[in-house]
Amino acid sequence: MKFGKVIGRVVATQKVQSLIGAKLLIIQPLTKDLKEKLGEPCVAADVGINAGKGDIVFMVSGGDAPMIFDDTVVPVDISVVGIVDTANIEEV
Amino acid sequence: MFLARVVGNVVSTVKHPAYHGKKILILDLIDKEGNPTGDYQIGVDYVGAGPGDLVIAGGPPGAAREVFNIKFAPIKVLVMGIVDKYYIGEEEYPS
Amino acid sequence: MILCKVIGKVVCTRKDEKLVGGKLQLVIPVDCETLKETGKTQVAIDTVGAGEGDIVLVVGGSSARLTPLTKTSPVDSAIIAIIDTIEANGKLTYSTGR
Repeated sequence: MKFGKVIGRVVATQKVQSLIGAKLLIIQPLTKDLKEKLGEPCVAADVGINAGKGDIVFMVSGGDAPMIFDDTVVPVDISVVGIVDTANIEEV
Repeated sequence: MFLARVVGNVVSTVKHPAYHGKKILILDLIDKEGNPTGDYQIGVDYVGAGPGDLVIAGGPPGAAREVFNIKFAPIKVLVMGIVDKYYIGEEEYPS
Repeated sequence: MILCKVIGKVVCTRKDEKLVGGKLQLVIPVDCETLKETGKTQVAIDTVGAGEGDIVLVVGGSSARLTPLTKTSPVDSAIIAIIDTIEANGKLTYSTGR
């Protein structure tokens, strides 16, 4: 699970039926201090979180990502699961 | 599963219901000598880990569902153990 | 998921029987602003009827099997949407005009 910044969105009419209703956000993954980019942007599904452009979010990837859709089986591999208010790094 | 050092936490108001009431930690992945690799993960705690702790984290898809007894848990990384020490051969870490 | 461009297709007569019926497309990851190619070519099974030149959404890993067409197929990459528009960093960077 990684941090990312919402930088845009995509719209698709022709898609797998189960994706209807999900927002598809373009997200730039970030380092843990939220200051630098981490790799290439990805597209993540958002249901219910309603993240918008500029928001810092955290995402889940892989086989757990479809679980944001409850019992609907949806082919997604990255999902937005929360909006970050603050991320505290403690120097130990 | 991997070894990591807890370096911080995340505060979030708007989040998936599966995350409600849970501690969300920032984990620095470490190499076998215990040094940070530069990579990180965000994980959900269920053993009471906090900043500075060396932990075991990870989990197969669906593990969070069992641990928290919730039907739909989009959680990939669980913090599942606080490590006292580990050994590579005879060498004890953290030394 | 990643944004990709369809650059071709793959034809195999002899293949796993669970792949029969699914079109195999050659896709390449593209940048969301410039649409320039950013990664390596991969093969993805098409679940939405994409064609060459389309910008598509590609899902990877075990999630690629979560479509009606692929639920029993040995695939780890699937095209799940054809993109109409991309908005990135405040600009409309792609539109099919649909």
